[in-house]
Amino acid sequence: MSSPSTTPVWIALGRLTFGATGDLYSIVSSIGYSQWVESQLAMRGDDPATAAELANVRLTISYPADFSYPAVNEVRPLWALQQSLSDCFAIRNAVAQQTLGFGELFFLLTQIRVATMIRQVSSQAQIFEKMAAFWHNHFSIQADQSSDTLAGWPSYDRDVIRANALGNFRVMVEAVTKSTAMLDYLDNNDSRAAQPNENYARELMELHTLGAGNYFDHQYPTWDAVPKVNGVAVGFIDQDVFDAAKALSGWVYGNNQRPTTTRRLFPDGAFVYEPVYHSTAPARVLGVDLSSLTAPMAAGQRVLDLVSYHPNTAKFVVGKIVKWFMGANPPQAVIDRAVDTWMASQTAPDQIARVVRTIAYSPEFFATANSYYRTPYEQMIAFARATGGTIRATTVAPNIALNTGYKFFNWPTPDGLPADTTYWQSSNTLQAMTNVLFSAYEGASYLTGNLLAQCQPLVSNPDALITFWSYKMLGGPLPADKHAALVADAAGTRGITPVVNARGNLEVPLRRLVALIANTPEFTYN
Amino acid sequence: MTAPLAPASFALSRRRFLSGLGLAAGAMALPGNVGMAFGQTSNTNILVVLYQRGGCDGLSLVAPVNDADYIAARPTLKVESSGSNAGLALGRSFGTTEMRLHPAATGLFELWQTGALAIVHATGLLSSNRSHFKSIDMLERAVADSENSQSTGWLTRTMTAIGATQTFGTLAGTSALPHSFAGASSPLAVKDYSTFALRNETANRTVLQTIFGTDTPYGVVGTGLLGALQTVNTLYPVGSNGQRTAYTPAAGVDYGTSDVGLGLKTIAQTIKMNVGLKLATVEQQGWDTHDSQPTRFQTLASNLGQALKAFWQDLGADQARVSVVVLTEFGRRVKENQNSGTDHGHGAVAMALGAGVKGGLYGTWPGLNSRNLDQGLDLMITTDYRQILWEVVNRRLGVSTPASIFPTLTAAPLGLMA
Repeated sequence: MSSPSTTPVWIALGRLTFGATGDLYSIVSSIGYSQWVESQLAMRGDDPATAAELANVRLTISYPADFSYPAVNEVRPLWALQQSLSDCFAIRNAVAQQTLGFGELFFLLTQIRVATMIRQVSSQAQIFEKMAAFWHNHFSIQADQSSDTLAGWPSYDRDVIRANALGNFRVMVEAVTKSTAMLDYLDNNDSRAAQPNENYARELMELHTLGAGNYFDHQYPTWDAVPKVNGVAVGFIDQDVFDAAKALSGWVYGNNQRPTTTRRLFPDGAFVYEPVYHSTAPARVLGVDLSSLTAPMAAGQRVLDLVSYHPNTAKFVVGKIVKWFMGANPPQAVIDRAVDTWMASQTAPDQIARVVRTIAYSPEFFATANSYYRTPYEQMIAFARATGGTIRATTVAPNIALNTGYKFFNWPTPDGLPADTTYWQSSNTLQAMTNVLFSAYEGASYLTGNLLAQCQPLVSNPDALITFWSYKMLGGPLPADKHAALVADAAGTRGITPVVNARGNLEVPLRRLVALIANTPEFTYN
Repeated sequence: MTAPLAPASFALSRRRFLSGLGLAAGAMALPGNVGMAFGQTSNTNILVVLYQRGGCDGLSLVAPVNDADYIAARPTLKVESSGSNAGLALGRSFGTTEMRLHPAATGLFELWQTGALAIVHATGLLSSNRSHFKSIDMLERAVADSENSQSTGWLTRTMTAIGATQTFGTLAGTSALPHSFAGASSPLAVKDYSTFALRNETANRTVLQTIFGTDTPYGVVGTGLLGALQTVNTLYPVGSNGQRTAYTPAAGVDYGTSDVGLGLKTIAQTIKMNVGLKLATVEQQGWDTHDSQPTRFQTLASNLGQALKAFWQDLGADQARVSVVVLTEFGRRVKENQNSGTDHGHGAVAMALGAGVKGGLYGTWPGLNSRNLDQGLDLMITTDYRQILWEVVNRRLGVSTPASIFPTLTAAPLGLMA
């Protein structure tokens, strides 16, 4: 594939956003790249226009009467964006008592999915949204695994992921560890002193911090054999997992548990440290003895320190961030520079923003277009941005992404969506994605917009029209053979030219034209 | 971007394949890359690999029901010799340890009774790791510990070894590709042919062909998709209502509605399309039973048995050329946890079904006494799972030495294949 003649800034914008657009490119060209990056790194949430777009959303919820609850069929705003954890657990408790339908819990997830699509397409805070999506995938949870993950989801999205997306990693790890959704999903909520559940402790080390590359169970039979730097082991073995599970036992959320015969934990979903559930057995993690840490949560917090501040965590997590922006094989120099920034700002409240800044100003960041293969979902969002579309805020919109095989906050295992692009390049996924793009602007699909208004003067000139959309969507012209094929197609029965004369409704052939451009590798590889 | 080029023969062979299709739909006339000319006696055997994702508890699937250590370690989860949770009697033991199938695995039991099912116990990865992701990765690359240089999937290497690189030579009955096909240029993935179609395909075909191109992995998949659709359109046309002609399994066959059932149905359909399928995969999610194992396992074992039984019945005359291997990334902890579940363990159960398989119980039972447990916790692995894969590939697909697929394996067949 020959790259379109894009400029370095177009390449960088494609990486830092959910899709570069002609309009954004004009803005950045006028204010300057560094000015734009700095303003992006200062943004932490919705700009006013996006907030207004979210506030105008009305989603339908409907389910039949059953048990003790009445039928519901109504439209509601995105209340979940403001509902507190205890609000959501009140819903969960009502569902458990069968005074509300289960649809209420699933509706929480639907709202967050729709809001996420809107934010990624419309929000000006694109770096913030990119990093929120990164952390959602890094600390991946199957949101629809249970009533409790669903009830915990709005808070996980808002108070854990978005609150820390450009913040401090150590703070974020603790917020994730204490979150209702994660406590339920990886079973730490079920951990008890006599037999700590090791599920979370394992994934904390293997997926969230040190990474599988630093799991040395097959190399070192005992703790003592694992090499240490400054008294801390370079990686972990199963024994570290078992002992980290001991340290984190007792970290639960209120869910009607009875630690003693006279005490019950209120079912509000809120994090609580329960000493009765905490194992006081001797524990050592990464070569560090934890047995003197008897204050509440002290041993668990020490574990979070050890794994969060570990230099191999920096390499693993920063490597993933750089790949998130640059694709599967980024230049090592970018990773090395960003790791240095990470390590130098471990306690800074904006540690992650600093790391992104280092990446965004790396000279290599402006080179080598088309190195990142988009998932079908990312393709949908990029297509919306490139063609000036707006998310049609219905409960159907997220289902369209799900139908391509994309898991939208519900990847079943905690490793998150596959980084291996082979996974997404199956014939099955591709045909589903292609169909989504061709139908994107139809009434039953996920976008609204007016393509004709953007290119009205050009419709009688297929050559100029295709050049216009190529620049708008790709930042430059298509390779000559593809451009020529589209021009030839425009003369065909489904193309632009005859329709001008015959039918007059140009939206339909224009939708097809932009979908064809979005099916080129030049668009699919960002 | 510099993308790897498709092999030069790729586009040519596909074009010739497609041009021949109208004349001889169903008959494979693949030039060049299959290594034998049309009309010669060719190996038309098929291998289907079923992955149980999440780590299936082998001690529940094929349980040592009278083992005192098992009974002690599984106070609530154990499969029993009698009573309401009595296992299905295989009539086989390891020494004095009687092995029984989980009571919900009735489909598997029926297959066992026909002599078509081989069960291997205490098998798995030669590695001590208990990570899903590392284990799945190793399983799908079919490697031992520290064999890090082997980046391709084992089915990709097998595909090359047997010359099954053409469209429909391989198939994943899933929406996405398993890692077993990593490094392959264009393996087909079809979850369900009824929705496997492009909108306005006729109008868009020519222009899509050009804009996909074949100079990127994406373009190669897109081009392969257009080719595959042409074949499917011939055999299962899309009607005026926009629906593709449905596949009708053999009379009385019921795959159920599970994902593994639908995947196997798609594979059976492809086998009957007679388009040269040689390697297929399918998966069943959900075996990671850290909690609530009794109900979850019951559903999973029941679905697995129903799906495999339906697949086997549906194959009819094609049974003679289809072999199935069932694998999971690891077994689970011997001692049950406090949440009616089991944590990640080690030794697991694998199964082989179908053509060439000598039904029976295989493997070496290490026992569950704590002295014999891996790390003092888990069922020891006494059979490298690659021995099973190799034996099937060798006996059925005609590959003569393991070097190209399992480079570090010293072959020691269990004798489960005729």
